[in-house]
Amino acid sequence: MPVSTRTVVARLTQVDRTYGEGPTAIHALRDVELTIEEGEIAVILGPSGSGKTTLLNVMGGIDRPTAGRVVVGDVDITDLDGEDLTDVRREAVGFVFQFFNLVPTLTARENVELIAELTSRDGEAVAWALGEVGLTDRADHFPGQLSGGEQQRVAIARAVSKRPPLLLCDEPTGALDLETGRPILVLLQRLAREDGHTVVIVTHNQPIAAMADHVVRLRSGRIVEDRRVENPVDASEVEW
Amino acid sequence: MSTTTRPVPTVGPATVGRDVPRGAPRALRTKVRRDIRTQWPQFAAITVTMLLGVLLYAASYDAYRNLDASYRGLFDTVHGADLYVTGGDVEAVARAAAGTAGVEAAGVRVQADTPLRVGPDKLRGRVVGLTTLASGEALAELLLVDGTLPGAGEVVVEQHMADHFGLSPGAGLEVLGPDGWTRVEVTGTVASVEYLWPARSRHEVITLPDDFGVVFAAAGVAESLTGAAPNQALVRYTADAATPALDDRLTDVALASGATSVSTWADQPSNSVLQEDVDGFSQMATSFPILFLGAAAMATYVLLTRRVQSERDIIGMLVASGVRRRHVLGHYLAYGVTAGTLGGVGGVLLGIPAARGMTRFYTGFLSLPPEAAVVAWRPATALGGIVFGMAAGVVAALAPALLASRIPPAEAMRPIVPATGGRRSILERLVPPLRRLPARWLLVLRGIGRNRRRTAYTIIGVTLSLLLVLVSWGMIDTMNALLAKQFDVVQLQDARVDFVAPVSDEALAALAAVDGVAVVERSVSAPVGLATDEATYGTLLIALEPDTRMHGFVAPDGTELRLPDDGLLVGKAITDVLGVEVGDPLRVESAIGGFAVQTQLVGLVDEPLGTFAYVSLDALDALAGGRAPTTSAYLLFDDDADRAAIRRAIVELPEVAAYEDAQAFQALFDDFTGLFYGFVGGMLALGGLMAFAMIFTTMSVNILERSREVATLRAEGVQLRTISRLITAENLLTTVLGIVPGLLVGLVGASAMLESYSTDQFDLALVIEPLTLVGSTVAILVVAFVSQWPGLRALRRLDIATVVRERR
Repeated sequence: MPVSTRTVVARLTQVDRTYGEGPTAIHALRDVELTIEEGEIAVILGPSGSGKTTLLNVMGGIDRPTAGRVVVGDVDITDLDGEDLTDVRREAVGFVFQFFNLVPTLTARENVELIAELTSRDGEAVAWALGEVGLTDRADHFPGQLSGGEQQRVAIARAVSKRPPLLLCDEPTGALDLETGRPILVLLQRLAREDGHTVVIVTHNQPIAAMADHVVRLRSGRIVEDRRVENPVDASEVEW
Repeated sequence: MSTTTRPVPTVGPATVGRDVPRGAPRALRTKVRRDIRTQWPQFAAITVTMLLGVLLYAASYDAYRNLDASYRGLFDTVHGADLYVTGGDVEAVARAAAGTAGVEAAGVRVQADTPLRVGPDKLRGRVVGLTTLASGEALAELLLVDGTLPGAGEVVVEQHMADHFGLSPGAGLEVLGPDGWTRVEVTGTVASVEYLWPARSRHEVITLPDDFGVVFAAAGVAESLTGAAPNQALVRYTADAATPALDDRLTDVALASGATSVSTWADQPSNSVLQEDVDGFSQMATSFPILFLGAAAMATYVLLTRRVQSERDIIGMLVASGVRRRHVLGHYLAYGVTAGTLGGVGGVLLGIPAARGMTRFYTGFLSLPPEAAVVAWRPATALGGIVFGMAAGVVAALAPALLASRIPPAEAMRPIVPATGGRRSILERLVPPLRRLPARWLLVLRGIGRNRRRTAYTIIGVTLSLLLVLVSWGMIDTMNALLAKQFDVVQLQDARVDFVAPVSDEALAALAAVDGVAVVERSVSAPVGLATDEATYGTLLIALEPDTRMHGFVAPDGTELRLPDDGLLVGKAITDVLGVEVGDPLRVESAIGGFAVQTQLVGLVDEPLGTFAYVSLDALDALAGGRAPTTSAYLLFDDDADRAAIRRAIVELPEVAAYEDAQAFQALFDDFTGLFYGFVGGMLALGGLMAFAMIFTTMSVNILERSREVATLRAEGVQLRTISRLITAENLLTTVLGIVPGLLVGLVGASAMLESYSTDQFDLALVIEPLTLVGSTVAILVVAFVSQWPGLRALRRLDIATVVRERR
C-alpha cells in the first residue's frame, strides 16, 4: 500500500460487524482496515451482500462496529453515545442515498433547508448548494415534478449544504440510467476536486471505479482489494 | 484521541465553531402543514371528532356548573331550608334547632294539601304559609315574579300554576277549607326554589298542570284558609355546617318530637329531580368527551403509525444527517398536537356558546327567574377543553412518534419493511376448505390479519360507535317500553277523581251516572310510611277493588298478579331501600300520624314509575277495623266517550276535588319525552359522526397501504371494479368483526348507563328492540361502506406507473 502524507478523514481499524449470534450470525464485515484521505474519491465495490453498505454505515456513524475502531477526522466515534454521534454526523458527514429519500411534500429548496438548517439558518447555504448542483431554477419544484436525476441532485445539494468534510454516497446512480447517472458522478467529482469534499461512493457498478482515486473491493465482508489510482478518468467519460 | 462532549471532527471544509442552531429545522414545520393538507380528509375527521369531544365537555361541564350555580345561588338568595320536618311538635323542633350549633335559622309554617278551584277547574292544590321569624332572619323566601306579596285574604301563586291558568294580580281563586270554599285574591306570581320543578312529592314528581298548583299566603291566612296549625319546621344551616352529622342530630330531635317525615334539601322533590339532571350534565361532561377523544386518539394513532411506517427512509435520512431524535419525536407529536389543538380550540369556541344556550334553554324551560340564571364564562373550562384536546393529540401521537424517534438511521439506506401477515388467516385455519378459495379472496381473508393492531383499532372503533349508538337508541327503546308498560299494562284507568272529603257510595253512583263513564271503582289512597325496625320508606298506599280493572300488577318475572286478600304488593325497589323480601313483615304508618298497623309484604310489582304500596280494599278494611273512607275513584270510559264533556260534568260535582285524565297525563309524558328524544337524537347523530370519522380514517389508511398492490394488480389488468370489491369485502369483514363485540359492549354499556339513572321512582331497566340491534348493525355497515368511498375514489386516480416504480 503506498504511503500517503494526506490528511486522514476516516480510519477503520480491525472492524468487525456481526448481526445476530451463534450459528445464525451474519458477519457483514470482518477485520476491515481502511483509510479514507481528505479530498479523495473512494469507490467501494462488491457484489450484493458483500458488506458495502454496512461499511458505509459504520464509517458514517449510523451503525456501530462489533469490534475494532472507527475514527472520523480527529474523533474516535467507536464508543460515542447517540447524541455525540448525532453531532458528528451533523457536522462532518453528508449522506446521499440510492432512492434520494426526499420529502415529497417539500420543494427542492425546502428539502435542502431541512438539513442545511442543522448548521446554519442564513439561507446562503441552501442557495449555494442548489447552485452547486445546478438546480437554482428548479428550487421551487416538488420532488414529484423532478426527474430521477434532478431528485438525486437535490439529495446531493441537501447533503453538501451543511458543508460536511465527508460525503457518503450509497449507490448514488443505482436508481438512474447512464444519461441521468453520469451527471451525478460528474457533480460528485467536482465536489471533491473543487470544494474539497471527501467522497465515498458505494456501488456494485464496476465501471464507476474508473473515476476513483481510491478503489476498495469487498467480498463476504472482507476487503479483497484496496488500491489508490494515479490517474483516474474524468467522470464524464464513465460508461456502463 | 479524546472524546469531547460534542466532538466535531476538524478535518476539511467543516465549518467548525459555527453558531449551530439548537432547534428543529423549520422545514419540518412546513412538512407538517403540507402533510396535513395532503391528508386533509383524514385529519379533518380526526379534528372534528376531537372538536366534538371538547365541545361536549365544554358545553356539558359549563352547563352543569351554570345550573348548579343557578340552583345554589337561588337557594342562598331565598335562604332555602336544609331540612324539612313534617308532623309532630314542629314548634319544639324549630326551637331545638335554633339553639343548635351550625343552624342559621329555624321556623315553622303551614303546608296543607287541599283542593283549589280556578274558574270551572278544580285541582289538587297546596297552600303554603310564609315562614316569618321573630328574630328577623329570612327563611324559604319567594321570588316575586309579578305583583306584590299577599296580605289578609290574599295569596300569591306559584308561577307554573299562574302560567297554566293565566292567573295574574287581581285575579281570584278558591281554596277549600274547613268551612267550604273561600275566595282569595291573587296579588302576585312567585317563583319558589321548592317548586322549580312542580313535584307534588317524591312519589309524584310529574304532575299535570291542571291537577297540581301551589299558592302561598301569610302565615295566619294559610292557617285560617286550611284550618291547619303549623305542621312543618324548616331549618337552615350556616354555610359551613351542612353535614350529615347535623342532619342526623336534628332528625333524632324531630323523631323524638313525633315528626312523621324528615327530609333534607337533597331529598326535596323538586331539588332531587333537578339535581339528577345536573348530575346528568356532570356525567356527560366526563363520559362523552372520554368516548370521543378516545376514538379520535385511536384514529390519530392509526393514521400516524401508517405515516411513520411509510416515512421510515425519510426518518432514517433525517437522523443520519444529524437531526436529533427529540426533534423527530417532536415532529410526529406535532401532528397529534395540531389536530388536538384545532379540535380543542374549535370545541371550546363552539362549546361555550352551546353551554350558554343549554343553560338558557334549561332555565327557561324551568321558568327560573332570569336574574337567578347564572350564565357564566369560565376561562378554566376553555383552558381545560384546549388542554384536553391537546392531551388527546399528544397521547395519540406519542406511540407513533416514539416509534419514529427510534428508527435507526441505517433505515435510510435499506429500509426494513416491517413484517406483516405472511400466514394463513384464522378463518382458513378454522375452515380448511376456505384455502381453496381464489387467491383474490384469500387476499381479503388474510388482509384482515395483515396489520393486526389496525384491525384491532377498527374493531374498537366499531365497538365504541355501537356503544354510543346503542346507549342512545337504548334510551329511546327503554323510554318507549316504559311508557307503553305504564299506560297500557299498569295504569289502566281513563281517569282518577279525588274527593273533597271521604264520600259515600252515592258519590260513586253520581260518577257512574255521568254520560260516557262505563265503570267506577272505589279507591283509598293515603301517604304512608312503610317501616321495618331499621328504616322507614315514605310512599303512597293505594287501595283498590280486589279484582280491579283499573290497575295491572306484574311481578318482576313478568307474571300477572292480583291483589292479595291480605298484605301488600309493593314496587320492587322496596327490597333495596328497606332490605326486605317477600314474606317479611312491614309496618304501615300514616304519614299524618295516628295510624300504624302491622302487615306483610306478599308480593313485588314491577312498575316503571314510582314505588307504591297496593292493598285490596277488603284487606285495608280489615286492617283499619272497619270500612276505610273512600278518598278517590277510578273510572273507565265508553269507547266513544267525549272526554272533555266527562271532565266538565265530573268537575262540577261538589264532592269532587280534582280530576286527572290519564290521557292528559300521557300527553304530558309525551311532551317531556319529545325533549328527551331531541337530546338522544343529537347523541345518535354525534355517534354516527364519530363512527364515520373512526371508520373512515382506518379504512383510508387500509386503502393507502395497499396502493402499491393495487397499482400492480391494475398494471396486470385486474379491473378497478374487482379491486374495489375486494377492498370493500375486506373492510366490511373487519367491520363485522367489530359488530359482534360492539353489540355486546353496547348492550352492557347501555344497561349500565340506564341503571345509573334508575331510582326508586324511575325504573330504567334496559329494553332494546331486536329491530334496534338490526338497525344499528346495518347503520354501522352503511357507515363503513360509505366511509371507504373517498379512499376508493383515490385509487381510481392512482398513477400506476409512478406507484409501481416507488420503493415505498
